[in-house]
Amino acid sequence: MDLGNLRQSSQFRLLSLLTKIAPNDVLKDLVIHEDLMKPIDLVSGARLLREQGVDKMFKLASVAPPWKNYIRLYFIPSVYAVAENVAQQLKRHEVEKTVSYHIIVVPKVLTVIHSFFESLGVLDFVTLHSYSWDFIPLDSNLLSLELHHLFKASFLKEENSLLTSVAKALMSFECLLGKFSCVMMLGEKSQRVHNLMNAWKKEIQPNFPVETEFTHLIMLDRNIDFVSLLLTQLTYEGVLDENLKVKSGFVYLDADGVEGPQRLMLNATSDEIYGEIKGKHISAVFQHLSKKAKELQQKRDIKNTDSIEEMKNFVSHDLKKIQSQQKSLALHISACEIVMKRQAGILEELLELQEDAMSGTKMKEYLAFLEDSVARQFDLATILRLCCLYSIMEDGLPEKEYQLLQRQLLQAYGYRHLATLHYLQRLGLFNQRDSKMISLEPLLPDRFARAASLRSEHIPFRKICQRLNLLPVDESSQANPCAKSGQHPSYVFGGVYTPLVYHLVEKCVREKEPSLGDYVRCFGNNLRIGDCSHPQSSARGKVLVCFIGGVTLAEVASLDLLSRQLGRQIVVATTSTISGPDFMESIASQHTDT
Amino acid sequence: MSIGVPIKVLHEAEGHIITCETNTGEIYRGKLVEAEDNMNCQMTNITVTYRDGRVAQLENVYIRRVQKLQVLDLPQEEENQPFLEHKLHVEEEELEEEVQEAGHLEINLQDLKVTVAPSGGPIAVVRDDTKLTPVQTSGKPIIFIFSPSGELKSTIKWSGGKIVEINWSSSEELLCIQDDGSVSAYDIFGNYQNSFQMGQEAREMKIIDARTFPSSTGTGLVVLTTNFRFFVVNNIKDPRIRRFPDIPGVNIAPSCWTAIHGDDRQTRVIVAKEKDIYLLDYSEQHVAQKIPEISHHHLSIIAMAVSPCSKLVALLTDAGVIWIGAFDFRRKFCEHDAQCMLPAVQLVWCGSGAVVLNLGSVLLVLSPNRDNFTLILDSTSHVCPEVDGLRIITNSSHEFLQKVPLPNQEIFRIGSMSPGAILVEASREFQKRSHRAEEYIRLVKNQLELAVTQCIQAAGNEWQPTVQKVLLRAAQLGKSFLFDKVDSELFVGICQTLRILNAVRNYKIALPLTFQQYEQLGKTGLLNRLILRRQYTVAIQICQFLQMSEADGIPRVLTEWACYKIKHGLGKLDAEQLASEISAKLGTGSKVSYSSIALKAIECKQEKLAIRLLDFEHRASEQIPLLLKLGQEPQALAKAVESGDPNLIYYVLVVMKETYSADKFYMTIRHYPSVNALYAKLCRTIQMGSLEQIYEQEDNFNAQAILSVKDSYRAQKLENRSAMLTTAVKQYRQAKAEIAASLTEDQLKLLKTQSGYESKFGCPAIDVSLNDTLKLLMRRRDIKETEEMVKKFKVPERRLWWLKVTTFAEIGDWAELEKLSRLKKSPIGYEPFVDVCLQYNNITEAQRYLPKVEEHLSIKYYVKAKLYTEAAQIAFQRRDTEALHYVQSRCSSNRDVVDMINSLIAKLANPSESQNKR
Repeated sequence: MDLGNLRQSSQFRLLSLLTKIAPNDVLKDLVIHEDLMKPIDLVSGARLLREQGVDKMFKLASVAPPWKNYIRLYFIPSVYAVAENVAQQLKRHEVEKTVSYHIIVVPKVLTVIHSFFESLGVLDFVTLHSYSWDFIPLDSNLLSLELHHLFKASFLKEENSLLTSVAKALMSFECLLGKFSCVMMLGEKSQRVHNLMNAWKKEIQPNFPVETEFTHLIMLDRNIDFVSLLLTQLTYEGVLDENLKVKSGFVYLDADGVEGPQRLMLNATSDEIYGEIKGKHISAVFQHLSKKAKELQQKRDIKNTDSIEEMKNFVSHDLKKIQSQQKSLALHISACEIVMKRQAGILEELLELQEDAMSGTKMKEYLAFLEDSVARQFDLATILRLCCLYSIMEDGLPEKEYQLLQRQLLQAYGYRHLATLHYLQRLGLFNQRDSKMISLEPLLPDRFARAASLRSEHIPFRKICQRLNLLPVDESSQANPCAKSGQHPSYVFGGVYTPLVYHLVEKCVREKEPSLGDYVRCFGNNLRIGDCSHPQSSARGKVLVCFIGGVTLAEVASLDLLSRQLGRQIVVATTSTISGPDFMESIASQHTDT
Repeated sequence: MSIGVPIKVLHEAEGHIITCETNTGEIYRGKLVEAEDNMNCQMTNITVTYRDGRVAQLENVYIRRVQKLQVLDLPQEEENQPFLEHKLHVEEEELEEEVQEAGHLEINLQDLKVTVAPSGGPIAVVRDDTKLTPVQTSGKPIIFIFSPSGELKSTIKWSGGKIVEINWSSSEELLCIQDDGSVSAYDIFGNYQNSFQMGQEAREMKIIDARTFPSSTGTGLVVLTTNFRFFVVNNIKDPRIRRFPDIPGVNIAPSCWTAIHGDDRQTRVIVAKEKDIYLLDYSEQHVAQKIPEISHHHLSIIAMAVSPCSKLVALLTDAGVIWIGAFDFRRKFCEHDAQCMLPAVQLVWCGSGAVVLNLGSVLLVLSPNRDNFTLILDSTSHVCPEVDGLRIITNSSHEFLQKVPLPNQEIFRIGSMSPGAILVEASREFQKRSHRAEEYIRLVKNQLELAVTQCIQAAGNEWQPTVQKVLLRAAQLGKSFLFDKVDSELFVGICQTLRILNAVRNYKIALPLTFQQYEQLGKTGLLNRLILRRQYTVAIQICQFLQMSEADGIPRVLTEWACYKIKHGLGKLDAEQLASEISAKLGTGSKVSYSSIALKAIECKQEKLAIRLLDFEHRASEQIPLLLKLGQEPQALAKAVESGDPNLIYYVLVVMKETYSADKFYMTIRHYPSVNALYAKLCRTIQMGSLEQIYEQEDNFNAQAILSVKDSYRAQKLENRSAMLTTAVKQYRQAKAEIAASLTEDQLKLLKTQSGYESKFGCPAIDVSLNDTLKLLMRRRDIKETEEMVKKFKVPERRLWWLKVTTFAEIGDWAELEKLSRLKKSPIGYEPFVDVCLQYNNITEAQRYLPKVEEHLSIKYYVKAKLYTEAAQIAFQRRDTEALHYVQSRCSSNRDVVDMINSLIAKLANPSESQNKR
């Protein structure tokens, strides 16, 4: 099966929308909002857009671009502020009669936006369209909806409207590739998505293909396992994401991740070398790359000595491949260099601390280090991750330390981060122990807190880890032999933690009758098993793991390992990829409420 | 001697009612008992019309050598062919019933105003006020509605004003037009549907005449007022009244008039006043006088009719002359002196090919090419034009007159040698297993395709299933010789259509549609008709048979059924019962639109039932608007949340915001976190309401405080910001969040100090963190202020040291750094000192602090400072081989050091050896 089908279906809908707006031979200008550029590029690519008559393409700015044609398209997310921006441009622009504007809203034209344009009285030359893409394949085993603000909207603000997009995407996945025979949900949002899917199935009664390749759907909320987000990822792709920020499958190696020519496309199907190293522990990557470099050099050298006939053959076939490999090799090496430089100072300390946090030892020193690092003005995201990790593993901070740390953080990083701390608390990431008594707790009405986190029947995460066996068995074995070799899934976090999703999927898939007693005990109502119709026929089917709220690349790597171990393909579908720094920065950003 | 085709036809007609004309010119109409091969016929129940027009009844007749079978001998303009008589397939008993029914009510068409719905529709009759009749019932008229098979469907006891006209609309609604211009519509079952007015002028002036006409959008209506003005409505569903221009000339009643709705979608009225004809045009507000070329002398035009195709007009003059021409009166097709003595009752078109003049019991059939004949009926009749023919209703019968369609003519004409006819013959022989079949087939070999098409088409036009079968069998036989050359879809389509037509023609359903009428009506049209007749079962079976799409197939029928059920179950059953009955029938998985059923329930004031029914609706987008309409906001909100569609939630919110009081609004939405969140978002983006208000409502001081804090960062002026922060402190206090409150107070203090610095130093100092402020002070070497700040904000010592170390290094104040190190023992150790020195590449300064670094870290720090020799020395002193290896690994580029370390390692490994050497 080809996951490219998904891309094609999104592509088809996009192109036919463009054709509907104006025939292909009519030239049109296109303005794209920044957030949509990458996904649209992945869905269709500039060449196909040009074939549909797109002439000039601009990035949405505060002022209207220099138009060239009479049909003008805007591509914007369904965000009110952006719509206002567009309206400003329309207003300022003296509207000629021959010009028509088309605003394509992703994923859906909201009534608010529609009535806004209506109130401006521009709807006679402005047409609103809705467009949403399906899961976009970023890699052979990774699908993403590229909805980066879903986490914040759904988990922080309980604003669940984006979940419909997820449900819709899953529906079209089913329509294209067959119905899942076994659905498993962990988390409130997952259940909500599943309910939406069921409601729609009732409503539209779509025809599913008879043959299904994917038998299992396992849906998981991001807030079930925050630890995977807080720990430092140690796979190559994870490291890249944490340090250079992978944007829709691309990494920019120019200074500070600015988009420039030094572009690295992270796709294992097109880049062989990347496929080999993406899941590797970072310490093994450099070795591998240097070995690879030598091999390539050898290949070239050997060939140089051959006869003319073979030489010709070599030039026409292998040379190109070798050259492209060399090129990508060079990029990977420079990526490694940048990463190494960035992490040089602190990585070891960090890893040590994380190990302590996971094992629950040396907690005093841990807190002292936190205080010190605040004084040393470490990167805020890094410190917050450590704080949250502690809070989660120890089920909150002791009252005194909690207050102290709060004061320190605010004094060091600015008072405005009071809101940041408040958000973290709401997510259940940064709490005082025995949360009923504390001061910051009722920042929101109780039901918010209850709905947002798992406070109501709270089971400490450490208990969960122990019950599910996610922590290394032998605590003394610091240098877990499997950690770096990549035989044990915990290698993605340097051997300190096995991603919960690995364990869950293994449990669900490996056994005929999944015994999920442990999970029921840990998560209670958050776990739901949907229609499990044919467990026996599903023995060899593929598995789709869907993350609501984002997935870390380390988790993807661990599932990749599981897939190799089981000999069953596991595909990860997610609302977006997410990494610790990214996550913290978005929480701490000043625009959280807009 | 073989039997020829015509004789066969005669045999076929046995048992049917036929009309024979003898060579003496007498016309015999009756049941054919037996026909002989030599064309002698025996008939019973005869009505005979002699040449002088006398009519007599005879029991039995035996006719020798029939000369002229009217069935067959009119090639162009047709006639009452036995096969076409509807009566034939209404069973005999039913016929009697019809007569009985009519007899019982003593209905006599002579005294009645009759109106017949087009396309095989029902018949409505009411007493004709203009005729004198003995009073049988009360003064108020009663309208009787009969099905086409004569079954009395309903009666309407008229209680309104004087009825000017009753007429059927194209959707089978009976329009009763009163003299005050009000029009009421009733369905077949006599249920009142709706009504509308024809405007003020019509009401005041009263109307004297009204006509309906088929328009492009439905049914149109024209009324004539007493002051001889025409008012027209083009579509009765959407009555927009237009006044037509006045008729010129003397203000007297027009002698006759009619409305014409052409292909250009314009309605015009043709009026005859004595002998003048005017064409009233609304769109151009213009009256044109038309002068048709009538050669016979006449004083006035007394009747006119427009053909179903709206292109031809027929006029009848007082002298009994019929003129047929184009509707613009420029072209004349024919003029015929009908020489009729009796006053004409009706002038109508039979299809678009002939004009029929109804003289009561005699019909004169005239066509533009002058093929005229007379048709004599048993009693007074009423005729009704259809697109392809004419329906004739007498006191006891209901017949259909049509021009025999071409394929049927070709096949059944006496002595026809058309391919179709021969193919039918071949098929007949084939049935008999006779070798002649082969001969016949060979005859038409070259035209087999035409023959098959003819047969198929003819079958479609036939009424009798047996004849249909004969033709279809012939077509099938022909097809088998053509292999795949014939499009089988035509054949299958006709079979399918005939199956349906035969079913609905049954007297119980009573929808005598011709093939052509069905084509015009369409599948949906037919379904509509069945639904109007409450024939839900048949409708569903037809849907299944035709495999109609979900949208207009079974679900629609079921919905209509449920609506009917609600309307009629009213009062008999309670809401609960009704709802469960409906849902039991409709099921939940089907695509039935419960919302439209609920809408019906709302119309019938059955709110409770509607709410129950809406529970079954699974399309939230349909369900929610209705729930809101019913005032079920909480339920609507719950459903909107379930659907997850933000647009729906928004919709409900807007409605609730309007209808609810603020308190109730907040109390309702507080139960739904996602609604709350959406509302909060709307508050922020489009100022739908105030966010503070929600929090106040909730006594949620914390959220208010956060809001204040966030707002404070948006404020430009310092005073505003301070004010907001002060509010935040108050709110935190209310929320009993003491830490947060004290933190906010700190911030206020800080802001104040910062603003002081800003004015003092003249550099931006506001809006940075405490740490940065301290750094700023240190950078300015303002020790006093720094001390003060530290005291004020209780900065811990460790942090202060860190700050000092980093800041001093940053500004390169190494002396100050040294001073710090000497001040007292560093609480943060001396490693940071080394680190900062190294950061700024100051090895010499770093060396100053290296000895003070804690022992277990010292080697690492020497290495960090790239002082490998020293590091190696220390390691050696500690006899730590591992550390030596570590140092070595770090300085691999420096040969000398590596060698040195190697020797040191060797020394450690073999202390004895080295001692020996010594």
